[in-house]
Amino acid sequence: MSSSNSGGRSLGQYALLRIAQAIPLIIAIIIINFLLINLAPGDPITALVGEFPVPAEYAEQMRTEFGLDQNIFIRLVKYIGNVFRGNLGFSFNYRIPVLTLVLGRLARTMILMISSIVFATIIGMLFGILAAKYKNTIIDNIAVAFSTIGYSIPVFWSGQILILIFAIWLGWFPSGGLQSIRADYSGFQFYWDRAIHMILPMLALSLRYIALTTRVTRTSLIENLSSDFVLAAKSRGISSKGVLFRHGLRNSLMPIVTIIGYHFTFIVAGSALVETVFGWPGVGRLLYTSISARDYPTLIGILLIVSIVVIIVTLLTDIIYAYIDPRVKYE
Amino acid sequence: MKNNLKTIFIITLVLVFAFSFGVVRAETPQEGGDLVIGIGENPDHLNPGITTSYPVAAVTANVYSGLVWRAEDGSPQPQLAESWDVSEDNTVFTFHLKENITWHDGEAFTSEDVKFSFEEVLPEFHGRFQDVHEFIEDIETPDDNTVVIALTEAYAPFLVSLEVYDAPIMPKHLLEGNLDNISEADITVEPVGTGPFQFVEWERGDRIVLERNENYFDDNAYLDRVLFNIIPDSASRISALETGQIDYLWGFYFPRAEIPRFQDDPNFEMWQGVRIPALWFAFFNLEHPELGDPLVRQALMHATDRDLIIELTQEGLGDYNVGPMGGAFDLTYFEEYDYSNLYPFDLDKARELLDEAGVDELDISVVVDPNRDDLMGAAEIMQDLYSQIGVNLSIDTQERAVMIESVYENRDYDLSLQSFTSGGDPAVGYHRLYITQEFGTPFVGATGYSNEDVDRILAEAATIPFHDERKEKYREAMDILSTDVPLLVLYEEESVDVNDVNLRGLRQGLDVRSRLDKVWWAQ
Amino acid sequence: MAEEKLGSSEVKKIWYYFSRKKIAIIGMVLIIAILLMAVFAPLLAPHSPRTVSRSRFEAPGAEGHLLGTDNLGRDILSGVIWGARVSLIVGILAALTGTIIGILVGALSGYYGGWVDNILMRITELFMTIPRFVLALVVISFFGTGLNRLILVIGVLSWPGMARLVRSEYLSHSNLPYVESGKVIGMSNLRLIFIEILPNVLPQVIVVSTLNIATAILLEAGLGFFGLGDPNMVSWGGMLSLAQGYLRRAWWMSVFPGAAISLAVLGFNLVGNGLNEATNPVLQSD
Repeated sequence: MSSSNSGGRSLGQYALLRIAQAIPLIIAIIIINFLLINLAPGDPITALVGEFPVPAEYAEQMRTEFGLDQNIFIRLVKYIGNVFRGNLGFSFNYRIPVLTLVLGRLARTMILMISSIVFATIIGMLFGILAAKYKNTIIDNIAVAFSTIGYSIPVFWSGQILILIFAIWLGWFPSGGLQSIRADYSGFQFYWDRAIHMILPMLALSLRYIALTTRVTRTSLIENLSSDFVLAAKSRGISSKGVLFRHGLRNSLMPIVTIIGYHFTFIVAGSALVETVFGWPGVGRLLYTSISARDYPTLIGILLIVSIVVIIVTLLTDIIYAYIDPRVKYE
Repeated sequence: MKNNLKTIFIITLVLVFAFSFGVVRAETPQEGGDLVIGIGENPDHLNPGITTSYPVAAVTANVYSGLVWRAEDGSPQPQLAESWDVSEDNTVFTFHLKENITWHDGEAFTSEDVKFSFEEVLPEFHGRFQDVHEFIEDIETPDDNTVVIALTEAYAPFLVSLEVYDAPIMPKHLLEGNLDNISEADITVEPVGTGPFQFVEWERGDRIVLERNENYFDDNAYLDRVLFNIIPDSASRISALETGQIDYLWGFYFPRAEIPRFQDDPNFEMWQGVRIPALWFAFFNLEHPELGDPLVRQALMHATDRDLIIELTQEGLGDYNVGPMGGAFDLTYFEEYDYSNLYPFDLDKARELLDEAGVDELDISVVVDPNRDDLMGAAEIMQDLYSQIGVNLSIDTQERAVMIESVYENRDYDLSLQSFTSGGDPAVGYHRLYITQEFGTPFVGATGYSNEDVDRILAEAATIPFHDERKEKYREAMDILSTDVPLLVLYEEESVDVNDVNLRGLRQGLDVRSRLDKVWWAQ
Repeated sequence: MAEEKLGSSEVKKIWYYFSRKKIAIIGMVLIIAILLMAVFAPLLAPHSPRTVSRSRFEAPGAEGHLLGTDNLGRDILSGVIWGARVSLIVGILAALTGTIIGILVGALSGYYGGWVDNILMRITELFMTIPRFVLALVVISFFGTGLNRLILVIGVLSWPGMARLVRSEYLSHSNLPYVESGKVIGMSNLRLIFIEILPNVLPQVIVVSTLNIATAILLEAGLGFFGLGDPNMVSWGGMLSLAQGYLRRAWWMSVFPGAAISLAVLGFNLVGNGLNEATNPVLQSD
């Protein structure tokens, strides 16, 4: 990032620019998804009609209804047009519009992902601070070891282990699902019930990012705490605690934000796996069932919406990063 | 003394009275309560008239009705039809419908609904009814409560094919004129039927709620509501059952591995048995150079340890003493054509036959649906066993939609593992496996097997309504089929249901999903 | 003329720094152990991993089955040993594929700059945006599974990170004197890219490649967990997928294969980190 005109753009203009840059990306994604899915073998009709031979007229009717008999390019153009109008098609499998279906699931996945990210960030920063403060002591070594190991454990295995220990052996938490099925809870009980069901999947999902955040926080704090700026501040009598918090952490925030933005795509992947282990009815599970059912519209819808979410998150992190870091000029 | 005797007498009387009252009370059906059933998949929609999918039928079997329902012994019992007369030659059926039946939206139910369903809806859209329809010549409705169906010739399974799973009666007043767009019609997602339960709501991917129909034409149901909870993950389903969040799991959705867990648990009742036989087997592609040789097929039959497969993939539940059309139907089972007698597990014998056929090493693949644990397990066992006789069986996982295209439409496969329901009568479900079939239609025989004699014999067998005579026909067929072995038959399924021990009245119909109106809670 | 060429003294220096970190050595040991396991599987495994038997769900310590058996009576220990093959083959080859593609893209991008850079970077950004795993899921489940496809898909999806790294290296190197002088004396671009600059970029490439192997192993396990691995080969991910349905009955079906994956990934991560620190003296101050 070379610095050009010193007047620069305002933050708002930078944001708009980034948004504008995102649009061709989105269109490219739509095209890729669409082509990909339509090149695949397997006829979605037969997956829809059940176990016995289907009368030919009905199959034809379904085919027309879902537009499967038309030329691929026509379908693509129509599709792009539809997307921008908010119409992502109709799910064969669930009989509701794709947009409704995916957004409904997306909310559940986002709850899981966001709480994991928040949890991981807080815990990770705590561990990272401890590690940096007690650098090169046993505490530091444990933190580093933990972070490397935590980063190496596959998220679906940690999920299974958590179930084995906390749900099966200790019986403290349910082994899966969104909520208790039978009880029609309301109010506080409802939220408490949901929260209990969310704890284990959230832990499984956040393990990797706690590990990552710990390491990043530690490294960045160590870098910052030893810089000349800090020495100068200390010599002016500012307490080490003040230095730690005001200068060190603030500058560490940036790499953390970057990490989260960069890793968001992986968090999405992780949640697909975690949802499967815990039977959490979110987008990840929907993805898998849609693949088995050859539910084309839903599949395209998921890929598209998830990619857009990623783009938005990347956008936000870029903007937040630009906001926090005074050194960045808005290019 | 006399006073004591009197007291004892009174007390005894009171006790006896109380005891018998208590006993009687506990066994008299009580009204009230919800039944929560767990299912493993989201139904595509809620219209049983246009699909034969298991979850759709499961949810709607008590919302819609058929002319008859089948009792545990398989016999047809009155449902919409109070009684029926059959002509001498078994080709004309006159059904007398019950009076005062109304649809859930209040409209009156008449014979017109039956005629409409049988002529315009089901033949167009319902896979199983199509077979029945081929035998129907004419349908008359002389009055609102009478339906006369004339068949082209006698069709043995006719009456039993009129249950709600094969011939659900659809409302003419809601579907007339809507047939071009039937999958968009309101009733496809908001069913309107005549059954003991009516539809309340469907939370997509979560659950379907039914409530008691207070205007049911028979005795009202005991339960207040029936809820179907959709739990795709089998481990969660088991948890839900264990913790009482659901009350009942049908075999279709109950993972066999969990049998030990519930077997001796006093909180649960476990039922094992065969209701509607279903056959587990693999198609042989007879176009394949080696597989086209009956010796090779017989060799592979010898190399397949069906007992082991049942033990490892079905927790030991299942019957491998079966012939080409299973072993549960008396009509089609003969000891002399039992595969465990004809082709017992014997790897040496298998190797011998291969040598005789001139086959040294064989590389073949088996198409399996990876979502079916039982079939995947069978494939892996077969892979291991066959490797010991020089046959390299590789597993080709194909999701259902892909499998349908490669196996049924293109016949591009070597072996393909499947399970087929008999539909309650061999003519309904099993004939299609052995008669000559064209390319293209899914869920019929895909082996390419074509034997004129078999075609003729089976067609005849379908028209004979008399048990012994019919059985003799099947004997002829089994003789040919058990030598030709166009299908690698594995076993016939034995089902397991698990339910809360306090439920009563379950499984009164042949199909375990039937007659939920007879279910009640003994608290 | 070539200032920072990767000579043997460079290698020795890297090794020196590397071997000082105990933890990197542990990683190395892990990798070697798993490699040996994979190579000598037929000798090490007590049974064939695909042999079914009637002894189902045997707990670890049962006779002949140190780590127990699964739902079809297959030996878990043998499965873990043989599973190393798939993980290593896919992991290493996929990372290699990604590295090669990444180097190509990054080198061209960083060296030529301009519109070439622009286009390539746009494409890279595109691939970084689509969730890798999700895309792999869709591609594999549509076009079928099998070892080759897995390697291809995972490899193709891992080049963006490498491309970016290589690009920034090439960007900085392209302005250095030795490249300038190379151009002056008439060296072809191709020679400059691949013969002159590339060796200097190699250390960083190796570091990232090593870390990519770790990620590739995780990806492969993840796909196997989703049932999209090769059904004819034993894989750790596949074993975990099977374990999911039997958690209550057989915890050992989950614990051992999962530990194997973790250790393999850990090994490559430790070595990758070690190499990173060994080649970047800056990071050695702590």
